[in-house]
Amino acid sequence: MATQVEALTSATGLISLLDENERELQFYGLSQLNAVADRFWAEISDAISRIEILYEDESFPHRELAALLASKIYFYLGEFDDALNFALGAGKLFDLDDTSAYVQTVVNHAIDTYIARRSADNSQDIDSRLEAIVERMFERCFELNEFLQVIGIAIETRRLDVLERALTSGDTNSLLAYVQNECVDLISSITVQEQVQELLFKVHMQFDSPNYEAVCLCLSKLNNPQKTAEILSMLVQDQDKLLSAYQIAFDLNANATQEFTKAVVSEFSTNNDEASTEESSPVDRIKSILSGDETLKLHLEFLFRNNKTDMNILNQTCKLLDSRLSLAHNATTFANAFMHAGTTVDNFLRDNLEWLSRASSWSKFTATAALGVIHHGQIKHGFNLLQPYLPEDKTSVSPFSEGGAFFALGLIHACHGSESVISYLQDALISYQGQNADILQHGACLGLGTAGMGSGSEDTANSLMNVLFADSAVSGEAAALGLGLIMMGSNHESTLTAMLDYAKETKHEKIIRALSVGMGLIMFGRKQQADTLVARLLDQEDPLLRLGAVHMITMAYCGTGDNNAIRKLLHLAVSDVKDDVRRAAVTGLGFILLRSPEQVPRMVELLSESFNPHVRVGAALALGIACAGTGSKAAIAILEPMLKDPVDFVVEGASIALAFILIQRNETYEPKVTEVRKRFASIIENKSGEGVAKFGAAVSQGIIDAGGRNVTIGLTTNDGQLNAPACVGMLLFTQFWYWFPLAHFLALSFQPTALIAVNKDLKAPNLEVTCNSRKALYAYPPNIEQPVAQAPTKVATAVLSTTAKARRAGKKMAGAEEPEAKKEEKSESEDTRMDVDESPLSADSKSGAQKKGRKQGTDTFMVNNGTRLLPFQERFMKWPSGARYVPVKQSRISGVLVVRDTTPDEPEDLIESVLPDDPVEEEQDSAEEGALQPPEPFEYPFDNDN
Amino acid sequence: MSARTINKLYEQTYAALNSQNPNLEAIGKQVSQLKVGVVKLAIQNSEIEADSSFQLLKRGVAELGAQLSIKIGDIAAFERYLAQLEPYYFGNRMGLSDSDVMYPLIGLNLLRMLSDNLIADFHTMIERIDLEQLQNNPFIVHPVKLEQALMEGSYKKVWQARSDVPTPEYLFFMDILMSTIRNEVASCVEKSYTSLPFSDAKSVLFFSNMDELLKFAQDHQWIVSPAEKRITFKSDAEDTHLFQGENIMKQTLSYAQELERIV
Repeated sequence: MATQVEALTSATGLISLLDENERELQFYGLSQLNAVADRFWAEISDAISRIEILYEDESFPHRELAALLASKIYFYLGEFDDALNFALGAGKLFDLDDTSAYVQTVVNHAIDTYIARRSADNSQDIDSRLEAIVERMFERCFELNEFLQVIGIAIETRRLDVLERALTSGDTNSLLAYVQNECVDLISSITVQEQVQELLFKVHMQFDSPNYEAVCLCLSKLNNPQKTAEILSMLVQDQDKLLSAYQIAFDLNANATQEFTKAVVSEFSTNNDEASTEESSPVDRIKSILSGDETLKLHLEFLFRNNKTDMNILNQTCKLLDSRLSLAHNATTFANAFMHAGTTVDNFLRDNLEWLSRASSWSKFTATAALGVIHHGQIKHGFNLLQPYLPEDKTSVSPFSEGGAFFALGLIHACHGSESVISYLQDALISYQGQNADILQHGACLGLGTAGMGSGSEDTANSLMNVLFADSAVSGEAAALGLGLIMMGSNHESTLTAMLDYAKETKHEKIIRALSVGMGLIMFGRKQQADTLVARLLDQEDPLLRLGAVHMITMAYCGTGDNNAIRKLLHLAVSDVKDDVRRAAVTGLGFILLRSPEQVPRMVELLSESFNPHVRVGAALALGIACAGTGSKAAIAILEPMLKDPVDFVVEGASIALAFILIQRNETYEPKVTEVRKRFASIIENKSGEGVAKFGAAVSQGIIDAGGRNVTIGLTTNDGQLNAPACVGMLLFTQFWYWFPLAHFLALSFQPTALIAVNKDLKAPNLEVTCNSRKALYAYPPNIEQPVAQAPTKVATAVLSTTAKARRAGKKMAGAEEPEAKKEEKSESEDTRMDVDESPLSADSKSGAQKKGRKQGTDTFMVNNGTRLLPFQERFMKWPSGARYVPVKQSRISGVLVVRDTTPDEPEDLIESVLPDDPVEEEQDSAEEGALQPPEPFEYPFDNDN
Repeated sequence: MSARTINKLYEQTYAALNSQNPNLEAIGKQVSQLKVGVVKLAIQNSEIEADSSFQLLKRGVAELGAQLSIKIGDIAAFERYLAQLEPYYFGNRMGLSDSDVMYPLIGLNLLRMLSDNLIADFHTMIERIDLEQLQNNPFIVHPVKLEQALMEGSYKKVWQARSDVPTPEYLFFMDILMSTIRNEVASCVEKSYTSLPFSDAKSVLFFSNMDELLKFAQDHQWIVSPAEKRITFKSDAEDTHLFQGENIMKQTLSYAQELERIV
């Protein structure tokens, strides 16, 4: 028969059989056609109606064959819906075990259809034949042990029964982790997400000794503080599990919302009332960890100790930018704030008092608020630090710096607003009257929002609402943003309605715009729940409300990679008539895809070449946000040409995006870094250049060296969870387009990159972790040379700060010197150890290691506790075997780790805190510490405004 | 039905069809019996498809069917049979030698295409015929010449060709062809003349007598005035193309919108 089939050049003869009257002839024709369908489908497709008639003819005994043939033809025609329908009609003739493209495609389509039907509300009326096909696919996967596939389909089809079966039949622990880390956040319906979390919780609890870290993560997602507190109390009682309780508390603090951790703390206190008699009991420690105090302290310590800011860059920029222009003044302020974010180092301000005094009105506001960024996390001393700028006795003398101080107070306490801070700021909202009250209120609203972020406090919201309804453009704008921050991610209905109604009522563009951002924040992470409101906002004629819709999509689907959201944003990006909406829509893509940064360059490549500069700058920011910290080469390739864009604000956007992407990279790792840094410098230097481009370049210099070169942009936490404050901070940062002071919100996105291990007393012991890679890849970039006055072109020349002689010596002695240097470092006390780091000796070993690495290809080196550990370095990290300290949690090395001491009786070698306990009071004591002397209390040399 | 009885039935039917006064109805029944029989054989035993005598039988049955359908004037059935015969007539011909009725049937098929005005199909078919046969075989030459005449517009030649058909079966399609031509001419005449005298109309439309002409005129709703001996054609000059403003506006607006979307 095969020879005949090959001989056939046309199927018309066979097709003509279908028109015969005899059943046998028709059947013969069908079976012959079925055999040759893959070759002659084009011809047969002309007779498709005839085949369908045969299928619909109830009296025809071979209807199923007709259905199979019709299905094949529709498959070849690309009509998969029809192909599936007829395949269902073909019954048993449709062979699932076939591996042909036809069967595969139809089965895939069947699953897709099933998913679509299951996600629709009327899931009752699903074709039972369709369900049968999917069931059979599940069975096959189970037979082949392809559990990941089953899990994926089960979640998409919302078949929790199948999901549970898959979880219990495979390696449950790793599957649970897979679902928690990779799958749950991609579910676009909140209810299903909760169902899955509950299922995970259930499966976890089936173990004899559950993995409590994962369980608590589940509970935090389910927002169940009672159970979490119960588990923690239970663990605290057990001496063996105390350390893992600490670890859980650290993780919860990093991953869960402020509202949740507060609830856990209060539940936990009621559970453990009697235990809290002695000082620093485990219960108190847990509370302190949960409230974030411990993490902040550790991070502060790390950032202060390792601060590697290159002051030359900053001084150079400051010199070149004309500080009489407020734009340029702001640029320097931001560069300084970002470079020193969280380090508490304010030397630059001290050294440039004259520059500072040139700040006027809002740049004074920004400059004061910058203190908040620099001292971010110093919650103990927040008030003390800002005392000189806060208004005394409720009488305002200099509203701009006082307003800025309110904002700074919020930034210092970001996400950790204590009662006193919140009530102080709340008080500030109503205490001040007079013509400048709105400036103070502006600062207070922003501060209140930042400190109380995500707390959902109705009381705070009400006082902000009152400010909003006063209808002052300046204070109303901040109040709207504050509302959004307080109610972040809450989907709080009455607040949303009030905001939307007011947005339609007010005449102030600033307020509407801020409301549109605020409403987006309230919908953070709410996915499909935001859809109705988004649709309503999209229908509005006012472009600012459509902008709100864009922000809402961005925030609601942040980090989900949801296809619908992407489609909506892409549509808006090319079809909306308002440039602002377009720009925000393109930028939003970056937020939505921030977990799959490799997709973004491809998606925005065309947009980055748009004729419309707003779309271009949006594309740049999207790349920057999604690829932040990844060093993605594809993204750099798109962004680099944009630095030469004829439109100034595109250059600004591209600079910032490049800074995001290249943050913490050195020249050895990514050679482009030097070029980009040089480019920033030359943009600033260019005398005839545009102000906005210079602003962008200066801010970018701040970002690329942010936090003393020790922080990255962390939109996800170390455990891979979405970091809500960071995402929100990033969105607010992009609003600097309209209002410069909002750029400070970027500080919320900074995440210290450190190896921090603590023992049972929450103190950091001296320990080391091996890194199986070349040290040079992760070294700090060298400082730029102090420029010679006459030759500013030399600025960017980068050379190691070691002499040629030392280098030669290093080459010879590298092998022998290195371990010795290490030993020395260890044996010496902390203060001298810090000195050793700066001495030529350690620089020698560094350059030696670099040279050795190039020869051998690989190398290993040790990373000390409390020093920098880059995110892209983490996969090379290995906990040394047989070390004294063993981490409680094995899955990661970054973030705060609790370690178990294997020889608890030996005395511990702890890293002493170098951070002054109170910078104001302990002035005299610290003078003895020499090099690490804390800064003098410092005041901005501001005159009074009026 | 075994292979042998089918063969026997085939012989009988073949003889009956070629007899002087065939009973077409009875033959029709026999042909469908044959078809079902052949297919049943194929379904029972798929190996048999490789057997050349079976293929010969299959071809024979289809040819019988084709001849029969011409006799009873069933064009659709004729078309089907020819489609089934295609693998036997073109390409490697299933390894069989040429059939006696092959070229007459192909010629008839060509004629059918001409009469249906399927010029493209006609040429596709011509391309698949051997050059030698195309130039010399009378069954093929006839429709080819006809087509040339048609293309030239010399309908007279077509009219004359009717008298020298290679077999009488061709007449069946020739009559259809003539009426196709007549309709073609009629539609041109309507446009080119306002009226025509009877005599001219008769010769232009190839009618041999007045009655046929008058009936034809009636079918086309022409106005016949016996007094003047003229046929007047309806003129429909009113179908001027209106200016469709709305459409143009819509189009322009959509262009503008698309332009705006260019990224």
